[in-house]
Amino acid sequence: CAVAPPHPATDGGAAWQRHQAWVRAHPNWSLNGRFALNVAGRGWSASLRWLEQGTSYRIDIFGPFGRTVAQLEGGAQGVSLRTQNEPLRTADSVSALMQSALGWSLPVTGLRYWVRGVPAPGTPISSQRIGGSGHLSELNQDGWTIRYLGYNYAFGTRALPTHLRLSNGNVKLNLLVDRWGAAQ
Amino acid sequence: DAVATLEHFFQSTTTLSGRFTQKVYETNGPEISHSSGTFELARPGRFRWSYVTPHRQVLVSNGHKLWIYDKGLAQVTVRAVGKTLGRAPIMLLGGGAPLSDAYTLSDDGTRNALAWVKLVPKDTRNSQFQSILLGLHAGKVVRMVMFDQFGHRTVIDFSAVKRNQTLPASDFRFVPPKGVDVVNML
Repeated sequence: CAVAPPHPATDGGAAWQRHQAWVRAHPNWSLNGRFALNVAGRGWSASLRWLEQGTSYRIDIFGPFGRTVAQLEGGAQGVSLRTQNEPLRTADSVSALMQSALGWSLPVTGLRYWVRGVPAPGTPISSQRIGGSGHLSELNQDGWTIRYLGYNYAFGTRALPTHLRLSNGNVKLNLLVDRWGAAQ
Repeated sequence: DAVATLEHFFQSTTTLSGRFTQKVYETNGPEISHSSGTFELARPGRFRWSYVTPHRQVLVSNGHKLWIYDKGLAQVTVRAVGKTLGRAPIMLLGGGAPLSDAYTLSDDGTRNALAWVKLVPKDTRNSQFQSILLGLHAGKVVRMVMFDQFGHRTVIDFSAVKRNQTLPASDFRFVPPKGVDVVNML
């Protein structure tokens, strides 16, 4: 597909500014999706339901047959993770917590924004490419390269990403969003 | 009673095939996810569980290996069946050992035209569900309700079920399509 020349980070066109403003104005959202994670040849896949309510989030991770594998809750006061038979674990860093409990992790702090097609605030942007439609087509931030392979109009006029491929060194994450929703 | 009926169903069933719907609910009721597809089962331990909606995903076990293929993600993971699936719902119907080995069974009465059996895992430490209800109609399992430690409820309904048909062994092997990323976790 023809990709427009990279816009300078600040400009990116009116449509791009509108998308960022829309995302900032909608802190409550939910998604149902699934991912395949590959770390140096070892792989995991699961489906997830992500709920965001302002500054707090809850991520339910499901294995085969809809079985809940883990429940992650985060917010201003830190993050907690519950797995099937272990006591509740808490920590400050969500990825460290996931890594110790599950043996793998998702870049949750950045993904909260990347999955909605915007860079994470407060962290430098190495580079970004805005597609012709005013949507992010590629972003480099926090050591991650994020490529946006699909968007769809989830909220009437607003398009949100439906397929992202993220990579960081030997970590590859392929994320598909089946359904976007406003948080119940 | 329902427990005897369930055990008879278990002992007299070598293969099962049909359609399923699967719904997962929050503790307080709202639906989290809804999926459906087809299944084939050959005891002990072999099955093909194909999700058609909302996306195409296939889980195939030959009793030793479990392939999980997600079409959208274009990835297959292959892992040993082992303990992880030992007590998965599918193994309730498709396992080799009698249910009473791993569960305490009790008659849970009749509700909405189904006779119910309650199963409580004997080894709660690494079981995947806190309790399971199997709903029987005319001597056949038609509904499974599973309660997990997170308070979620998974309801699987079976329909168009055929019993004891011969199913080709090839149905329980998975050949990854070309160009799909195969991740070997054996």
